[in-house]
Amino acid sequence: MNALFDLDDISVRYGDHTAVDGVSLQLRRDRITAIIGPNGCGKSTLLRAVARLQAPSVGRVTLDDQDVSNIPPRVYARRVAVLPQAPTAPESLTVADLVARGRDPHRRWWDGWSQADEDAVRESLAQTGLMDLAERPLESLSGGQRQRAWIALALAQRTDALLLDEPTTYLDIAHQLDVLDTVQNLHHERGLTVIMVLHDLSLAARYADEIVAIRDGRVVAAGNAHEVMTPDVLREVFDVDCRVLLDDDTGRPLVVPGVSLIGRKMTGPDRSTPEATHVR
Amino acid sequence: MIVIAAVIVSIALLAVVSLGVGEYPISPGRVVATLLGGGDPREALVVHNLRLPRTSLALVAGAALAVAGAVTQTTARNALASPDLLGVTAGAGAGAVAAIVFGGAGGEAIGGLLSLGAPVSALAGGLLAAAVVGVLLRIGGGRGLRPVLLGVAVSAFFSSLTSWMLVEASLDDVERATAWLTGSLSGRGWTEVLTVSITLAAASALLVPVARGLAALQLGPDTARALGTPIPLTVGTLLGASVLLTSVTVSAVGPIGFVALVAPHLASLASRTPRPPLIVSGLFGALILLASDLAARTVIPSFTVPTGAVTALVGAPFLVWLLVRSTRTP
Repeated sequence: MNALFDLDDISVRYGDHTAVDGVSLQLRRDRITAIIGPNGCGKSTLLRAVARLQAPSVGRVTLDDQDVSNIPPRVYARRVAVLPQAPTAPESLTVADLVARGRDPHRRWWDGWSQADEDAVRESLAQTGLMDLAERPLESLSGGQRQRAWIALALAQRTDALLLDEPTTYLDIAHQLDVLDTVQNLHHERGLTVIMVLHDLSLAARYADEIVAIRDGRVVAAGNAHEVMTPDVLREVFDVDCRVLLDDDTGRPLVVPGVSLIGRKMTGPDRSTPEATHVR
Repeated sequence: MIVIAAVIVSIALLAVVSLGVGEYPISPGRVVATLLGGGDPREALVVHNLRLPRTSLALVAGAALAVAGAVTQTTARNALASPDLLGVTAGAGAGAVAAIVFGGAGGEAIGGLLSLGAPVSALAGGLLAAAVVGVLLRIGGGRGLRPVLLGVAVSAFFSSLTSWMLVEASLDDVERATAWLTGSLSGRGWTEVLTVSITLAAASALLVPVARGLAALQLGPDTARALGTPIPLTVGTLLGASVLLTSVTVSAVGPIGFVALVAPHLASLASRTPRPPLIVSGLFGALILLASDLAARTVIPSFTVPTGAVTALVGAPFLVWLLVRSTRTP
């Protein structure tokens, strides 16, 4: 199996709280992988452990068989770009200045601004459709444009992999689609490996090739979208009875939420619900 | 670039005025002539020996304080996080007073101690205060007004330590220490200018390699780390340089407040940049301290107001404005 990241029995604890509890997982190269799960399930913590923003208490994460904690920060930043959840920028920072920071991993402190840096920034701006907004301050942009600017920052790092922590938080549906379409295009055009935490099931089903479902810090199911997006898995992960249909246009699963089981007596699965129904 | 040129021209003009003002007034034209090697012996004595050290000290001390302020504010991502508000200045002050009180037996020995013992002792005090604030912020988080409140507490602690030492001290030492504690540029000489200049050069050498990390840190610690910034090393170097600058400057000119707070804001406003550029901040700091010192010497001709009092008079309203603004925006 062509794994980029290999997670070997990792746990992350904060004091008494165990956010990630013994996860072993392979994250595949050249795929869009979505990590899903209810609030507080540890999905962001898991991503942060992969992104080296949080050291696991136990276990190790390897990138191409190399322990990530042994990779120097700048070297890692040239291979993997990370976009944290809800990042903040100082007032009046322009899009171009933000994206230029993406060249930091490629420049020693004595290096000037090279043509290669300029090209990388322009290409990143072009691929995220921000060429015309380059000189605008970040706060004057819409939520979706702003998120694209952060993605452009990550692109300017020229990495093979992009990790995104809830890139659609606080965005309305049009901007959510805008951002994820951008990510998907980049995946197709640049062969970028994408690993992202998403809280929206329908978006995960629509954009991700691979899905990892997490609950209480453990992996409940991992596999391609069709394997993971099943009523049984979704009930186990989210406490929601769903129907899963098949979208004939995209060939992707389509989740239709039914009844929330939170606060109710758990009942056995409703056998009358078919596993997948074709709709048109 | 235009901003830098404008500030440098203002500094030059003010410096010439400052060198001419005093009990023996010299016209700006004569000041320039004297500086260029002309002028009669009396003018040369007044300008070179009496006033040039003071003016030079205002410039280097102002620059040092401002650079320290710009570095801390940017690193902490908090417009209010300047060394004087965080208690570093009070810590360095207590350290310097300790050197004066416990180090010298009064009289002649003090001169030598002030040039060597006080900076080192001030640095120890500054580092201690910074460490205390750092640990407390790490425990409780450091957004919004918290750092300032902690700074008030830490400052109060070190101020009371200073008062206690003054009670214990001999009368000579007390007089010397109190004069120094008001923050003044009078009675200083080339030794202090040299001490602060060397510190400024050393701190700049430390800051150059990590300056780019400063830009990354402004995007938040997570993003900075994601961009390959070695966080502990970068933050340690930045804050270390800032404490070094503040402490040694305080040991030379006393706890002059608000320059570190105000200058970076002016620099960032004037250059229209999202963070205070270090060089422009330094220039603004030099300009502010020079102007404050000039005001201190000229506003009441018969009586020299301590320079620290002038910067506080101008800086305190600015702090109030920042506080009002920071409580309005989340």
